[in-house]
Amino acid sequence: MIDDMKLKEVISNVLGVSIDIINDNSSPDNIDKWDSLSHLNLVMAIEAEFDVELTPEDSMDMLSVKLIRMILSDALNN
Amino acid sequence: MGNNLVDKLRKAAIKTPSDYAKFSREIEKIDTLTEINISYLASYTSEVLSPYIVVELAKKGYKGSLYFAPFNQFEQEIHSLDSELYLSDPDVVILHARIEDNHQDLVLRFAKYSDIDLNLMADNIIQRHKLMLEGLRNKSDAKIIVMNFGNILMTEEYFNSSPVIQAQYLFLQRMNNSLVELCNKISSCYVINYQELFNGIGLNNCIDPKLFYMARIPFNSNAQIKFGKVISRTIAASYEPPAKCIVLDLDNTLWGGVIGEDGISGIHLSDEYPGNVFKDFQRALLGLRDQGVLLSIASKNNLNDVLEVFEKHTDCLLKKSDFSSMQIHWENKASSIEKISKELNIGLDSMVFFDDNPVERDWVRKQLPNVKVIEVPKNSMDYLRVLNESTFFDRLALTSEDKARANIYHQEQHRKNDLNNSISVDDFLKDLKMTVQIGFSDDFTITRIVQLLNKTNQFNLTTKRYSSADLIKIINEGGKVLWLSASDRYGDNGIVGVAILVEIKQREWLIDSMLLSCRVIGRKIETVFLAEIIKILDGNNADFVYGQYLPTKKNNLVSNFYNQHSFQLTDKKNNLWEFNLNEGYIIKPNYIEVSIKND
Amino acid sequence: MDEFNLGDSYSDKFIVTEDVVNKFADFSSDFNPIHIDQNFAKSRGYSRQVSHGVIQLSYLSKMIGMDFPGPGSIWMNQTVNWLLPVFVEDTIKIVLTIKGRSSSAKILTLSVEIFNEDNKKVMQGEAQVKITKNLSSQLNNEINELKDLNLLQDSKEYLPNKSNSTQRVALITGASRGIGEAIARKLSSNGFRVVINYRNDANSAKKIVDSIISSGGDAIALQADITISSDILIMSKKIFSKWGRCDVVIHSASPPIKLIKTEQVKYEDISLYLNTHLKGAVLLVENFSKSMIQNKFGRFIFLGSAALYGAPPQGMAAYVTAKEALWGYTKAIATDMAHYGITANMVSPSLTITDLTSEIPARVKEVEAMKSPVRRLVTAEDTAYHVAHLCADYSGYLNGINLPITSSPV
Repeated sequence: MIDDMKLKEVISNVLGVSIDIINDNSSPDNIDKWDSLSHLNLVMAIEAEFDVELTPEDSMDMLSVKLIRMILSDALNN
Repeated sequence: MGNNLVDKLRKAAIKTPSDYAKFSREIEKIDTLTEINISYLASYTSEVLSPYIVVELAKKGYKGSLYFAPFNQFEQEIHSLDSELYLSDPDVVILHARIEDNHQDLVLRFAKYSDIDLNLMADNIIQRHKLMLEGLRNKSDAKIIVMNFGNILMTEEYFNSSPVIQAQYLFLQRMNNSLVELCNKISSCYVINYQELFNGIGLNNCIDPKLFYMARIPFNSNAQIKFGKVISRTIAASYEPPAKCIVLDLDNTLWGGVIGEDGISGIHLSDEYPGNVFKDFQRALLGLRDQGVLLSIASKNNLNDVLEVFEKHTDCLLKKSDFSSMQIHWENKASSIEKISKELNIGLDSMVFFDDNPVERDWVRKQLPNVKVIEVPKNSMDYLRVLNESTFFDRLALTSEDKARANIYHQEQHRKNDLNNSISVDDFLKDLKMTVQIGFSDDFTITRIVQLLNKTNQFNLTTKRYSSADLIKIINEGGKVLWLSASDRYGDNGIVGVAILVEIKQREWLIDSMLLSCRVIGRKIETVFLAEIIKILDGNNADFVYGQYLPTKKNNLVSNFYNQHSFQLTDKKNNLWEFNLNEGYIIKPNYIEVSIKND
Repeated sequence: MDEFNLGDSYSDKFIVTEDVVNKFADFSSDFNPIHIDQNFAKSRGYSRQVSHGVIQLSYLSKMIGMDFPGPGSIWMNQTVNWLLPVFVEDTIKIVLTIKGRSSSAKILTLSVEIFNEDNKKVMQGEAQVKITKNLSSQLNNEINELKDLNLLQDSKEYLPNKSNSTQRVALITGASRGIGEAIARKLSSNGFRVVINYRNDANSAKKIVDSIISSGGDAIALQADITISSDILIMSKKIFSKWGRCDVVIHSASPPIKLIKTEQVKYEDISLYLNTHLKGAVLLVENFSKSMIQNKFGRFIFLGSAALYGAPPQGMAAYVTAKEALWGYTKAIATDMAHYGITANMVSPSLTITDLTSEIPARVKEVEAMKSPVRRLVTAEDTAYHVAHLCADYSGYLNGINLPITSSPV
């Protein structure tokens, strides 16, 4: 199981948005600061915080917070 | 508010990219830290380094404001005056053109090159750097930090003894040597040893191919954090001089055991374990002294016991004469440090305290919060490492004055003793047989001039900090930068004074800066200096000379300087003093011989 | 085939009347006096006329063809051994018993025994009958329905009555699931009577019908394999007899998509899709266009695929070829039949995730959704809505289009 609070904190810290506005639907569509550079920062931060290695495909599939959770889950279970 | 944040930053556990991101944002809100504009030109995606540089600089009391040029836009940014680079008005410019990004064949196909090819490649790369650095220097006064060349794609698992890899390593060394030579010719230009840094991190720990191939991010977040720390450390070192003096404990610091209890034959100091640990530490301390850091002692001991070790112990590398000051008695160490500070005329914030006893360290921290206390590890075998890793002694330049400093201070002791014996101050001064030389700054003297400008706090009228690039700019605009060197019967003090003169209106000049090293305060050298300045300006047809006193916490002793030298207060609010060359005249002592060095 | 087991038996009785014997004599021109002249028969030692033996075979034909095994049977082989005469006004009992079955060849071997009123065997023989269709009880019911309607006996082409109901009727093939089901439901809620055509899944079809009816709509489920001409014919007749019209035909039946490397594709692979997509469409047009012409209104809508746009996905040569052929046919219908008030259009949705594709992992679906400009996957309802739009009376000017339902430019 993923620590959901920890994930939201990481996203909040990296993107610079309040933790309250983060939910499953959060994506580059509704968070301005989630651009291509901050996306990479997210990848690196999540890898460091959860001690996982993400593949390039994982990185490209992280299109929303919901997907980040699914991908992180997969990565932690492997 | 700013200091609270700095404390908070130093104490907080800031380890992961997420932590750094969070604190980086908090720092953005603060405006009480010294601001530094930093521009970063790189052959890779450098933006990722931002939170690490910002946080690490903030820990040192600086607020970094970063501009990252689009990658590989070196020439475009440097050679165009209205580029973002210059518009961002940088104080520091970082330049990193990696061969891993721009010359992949040199990294991956090294064997294909003939020697001639390699020479050509090396020349081209260095020539490019030359054009970039000179171009940058022509348009900006910012400090420049350049990275040297490495190959971080090569890991420890490569067979490093292969002739190809050996040859490649030597090739990089040659290029790095050329780079250092190049940078020495450019003012305020510093090289970060990128190659050694990453070798130290462990190449296997740096690389994340997906980041590189997908986004040109040169290495993983762990390496980014370490790189950010080194960059911040280098920037801080370019602004702050190294500590001037280290105050040492004795027992279990310079030798194993307690001299008062174990006696001279019982302490550990030899070529065998554990004595060799302390002998090496002494050697390292002498290494610091070689670079101009004064050694002093604050120890609760009997003086005679200690002197016996210095004089008679065959394995004691440190001698009494190596120490510029010794406070060996039973009073508390905070007062010892204060005494040393007064004696050597060194500010408390320029002093480092090294003591194996955590209680003593704590005491000093509380009593003298400005003193830099090294967190000494429990294991004496780690002393050497901790000493060498300490940021307190970071330096980016080493001059001959630095190297000689410890000895000069040694000579100073004699003078102080003499002072107690002399009859009158004037007689004493006369007896010193001082000679003073004044000259205009040039390639040989500029480093020392800059050093003095940036570290002199007490006898400093305006406390303006300048880089060599700043000075060159002043000279180019018609100003004058003067140095003053002083010697006396005990020896040569080297350059101990600086003055900067600028023409503010036709035939009206301002003494923008004037300072004297604390070593030579109180000998009327300042009077001689001022008199010569007036004389030089007279030769330039000046009518009026202005002097300004900008008060700080440390320069109170010169608050009355211009008044004492017959300047008139002309602007009370700005503390501006006026000297009319047609009317005034400075009386200078006749026992100081002055000469002007002509170019 | 599975319904017929060794030992199964069926019997029926017939009365061989004098009328039947005389009609048979007329029919066959066999006026042998032994069959029609009582005196002659008596003179030969029989109590009365002897019926033509073949009349028994006629009743046997009826039994085999209509009762046991029933419709779809092909009578291949018959041995006959007449043991005793059957006289006029005799009642005979024909007993058929399965003596053998070949599942692979779908052939039943039946023993044929005919008994007279005294239970004496008058005929003994063996029949071999080939079963060409899976006979279910439902089919028997349908046959019975048709019998009620006197349709089977009419070999002329049948045209529906001009309906007295103005409610439009829509037939949707492949409507037991997925897009077809969604279309049926949408049309029903738009006021259509809907025919849920299915090939195998009677249960699902029934559930849909029930759910539509319980929401106040009108629906029936009809089984038909739309690659078989007779199936569609029968289905069409049922529709016309029940509701008198069929205004809209939506062809969404499709075999599951199988990916085949193009270099390994055989024509049979393509035929499989062509049969369903193209042949099915042709048969539907053939059977339903006449009534549309008569009513001066018609709608043909064929399901295409977003795979038709741009470069198709790899491994779909057979599927794409068939859908492209169907598109060609759609355009022809649109051009040639429009003046009758009939429009033909295609609707091409992106790959729709339905229950059949539920093995696709949640993450893959979510990624596909986020890659779409509108950030969700297409649903069957998305397509159904637009199909319904094309079916409307007001959509007469939308003709010969292939409407992409793809959330992005194609």
